[in-house]
Amino acid sequence: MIRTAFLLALATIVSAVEISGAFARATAPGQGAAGVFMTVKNPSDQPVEVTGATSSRAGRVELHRTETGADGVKRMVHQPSITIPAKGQVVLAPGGLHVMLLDLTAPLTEGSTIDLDVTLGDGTKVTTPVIVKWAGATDATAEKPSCCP
Amino acid sequence: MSFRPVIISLVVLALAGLALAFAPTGTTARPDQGDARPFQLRDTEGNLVTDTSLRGQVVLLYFGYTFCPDVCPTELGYVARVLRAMGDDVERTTPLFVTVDPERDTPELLKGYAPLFHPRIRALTGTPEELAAVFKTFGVTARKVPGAGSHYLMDHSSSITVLDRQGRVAATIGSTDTIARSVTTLRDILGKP
Ligand SMILES: [Cu+2]
Repeated sequence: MIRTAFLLALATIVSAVEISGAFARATAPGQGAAGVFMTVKNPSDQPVEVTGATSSRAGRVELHRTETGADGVKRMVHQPSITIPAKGQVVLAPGGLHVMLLDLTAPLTEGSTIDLDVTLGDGTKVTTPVIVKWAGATDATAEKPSCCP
Repeated sequence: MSFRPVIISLVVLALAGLALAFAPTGTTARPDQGDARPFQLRDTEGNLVTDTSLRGQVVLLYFGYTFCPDVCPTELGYVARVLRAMGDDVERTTPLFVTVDPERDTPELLKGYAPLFHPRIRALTGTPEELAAVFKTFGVTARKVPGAGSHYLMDHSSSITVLDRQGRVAATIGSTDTIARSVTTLRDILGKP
């Protein structure tokens, strides 16, 4: 009985947000950083904060937003958290928000899958596989142009 | 007799001054703007690459850094897709990735990075002086910004400058343009002497 209640509670926590389409781009040996993009859906009727992430493949992970200045200059700005609205979703996509993997332990090779645990405001974690796509991919389903190695 | 060239020189200087005063400051270059712009950089083998060594090729110049996981891969991926759409004309097109972060972008790293996008993309670096001169020549902004821990990021211009076969700035393209539009732009430039 207690066990069932515990499992139910766990299931509720696990489904706090749903992550789909997570992808990263292949990196070269020695490259220090990679971005992870994904869709984070919040089916609950309360807003949920994404406060960070961890991966066995990165020494450090941050949340970033790319901003463009009036002069066309691009910059990445650290975000303390990302709010996923109730019954809504936030798309982390190139040119906007991304999860920034720093201090990569090894290059990300195209076609492989890496792990990512996304941390929520209440301390729970949501695990998602991250597919490593072609270095120039702009979405999770993009095919690599036939030209490229 | 002898003062005429002096007057002409003065007029030319004055015009040049005016041109400089009204030159666009950000990243957007005007089409068919001025003369060839001299520059000197090095490839990942240490060989000199200059504006004159690239004459006859349409050059796509992109300035970025490998510690840039969002904007740079998007633009280089775009360059790769444009090159693919150009068919045989790709042989007369030279895409260059010039690092704005020579401190971390070693030749070895650059050598592995550029071909991830397209085999024709050549990565270039240079001495701090050479790079500063190139940024100035092409109106590129590159600012080091402290990040967390030992990391730093670079604020940088992110448009692709197209040089015609004489080394003149002929257009600016970027991933917000359709592939077809940029292919047309590049073919137009290739068709001109
Ligand atoms: Cu970032």
